[in-house]
Amino acid sequence: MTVKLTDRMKAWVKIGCHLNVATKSGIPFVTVSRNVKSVSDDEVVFALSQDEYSVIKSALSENPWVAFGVSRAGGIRACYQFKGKGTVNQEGDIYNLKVKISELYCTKPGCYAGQRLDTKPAQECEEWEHGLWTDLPK
Amino acid sequence: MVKLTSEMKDGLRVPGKGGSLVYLATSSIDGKPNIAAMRYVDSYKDDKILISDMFLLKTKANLKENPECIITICHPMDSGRDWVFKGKAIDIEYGFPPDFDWYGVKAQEILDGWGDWHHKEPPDEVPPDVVYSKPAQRGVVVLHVEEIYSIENGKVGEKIQ
Repeated sequence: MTVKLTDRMKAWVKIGCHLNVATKSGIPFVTVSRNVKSVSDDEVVFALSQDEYSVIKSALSENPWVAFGVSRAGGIRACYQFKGKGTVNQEGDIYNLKVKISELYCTKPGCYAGQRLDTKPAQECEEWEHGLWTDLPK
Repeated sequence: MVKLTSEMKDGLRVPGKGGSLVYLATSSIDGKPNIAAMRYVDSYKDDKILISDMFLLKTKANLKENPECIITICHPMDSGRDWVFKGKAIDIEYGFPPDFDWYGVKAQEILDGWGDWHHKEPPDEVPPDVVYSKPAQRGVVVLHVEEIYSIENGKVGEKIQ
């Protein structure tokens, strides 16, 4: 499948995200990223501080899968879940976690919960989203 | 042994009652993570967190094969509620034997107290474009908390309990 984040998704992701990673045997670890370095159509780079990275370092070293959702009001206003594989590049005391998104889900409570969005053509996905929400983060 | 503080218990209630929006994070047994926001949240006794099972899909599938689970505060952040609760969870669904025990709590007491959450605490604070048309609760997720760490800015990962 091809992922193409909409402009609304990109805008919300930029406010920061909660990231979940797991060991190969399924033990989860959650960290937050308050600084999002860049967002493209299918990639997000999180600029993690030492402490933010330390929580996920061990699990990420054995298993690249990352699932994330938007922090703060995005938890209710930006009902998306993003999944992909991550790689880390250290830049001074910042750890840049680049996630190549391969799966995209709607998490709106109700009939759309769990709806996979990356299976829709990009324009259809954008029109579908526009029918539900148009608001951007303040 | 973990003991939730009164501040944590207050912070974990449903948002409209002064609580927080939370993220529920799980993983498949082979390590594929999942994270989804939840609004029906409560604490029980000193080491349990409860979440309504209304629209759980991947979360439910994950918990059926792997109880490792995290609940963390999503909103508000950076307001003193910067907690991550880690432990083992189960989805106590209708049909469980009433005396089924999960780390000291019985299925019946959980379902009697929180099995009809929508009527107990109607979601009147949820924005109209996010509210759902018909709730269909199937059970209650019970997290037995074994560890608490911080996501406070500058202190992420520091163990609280």
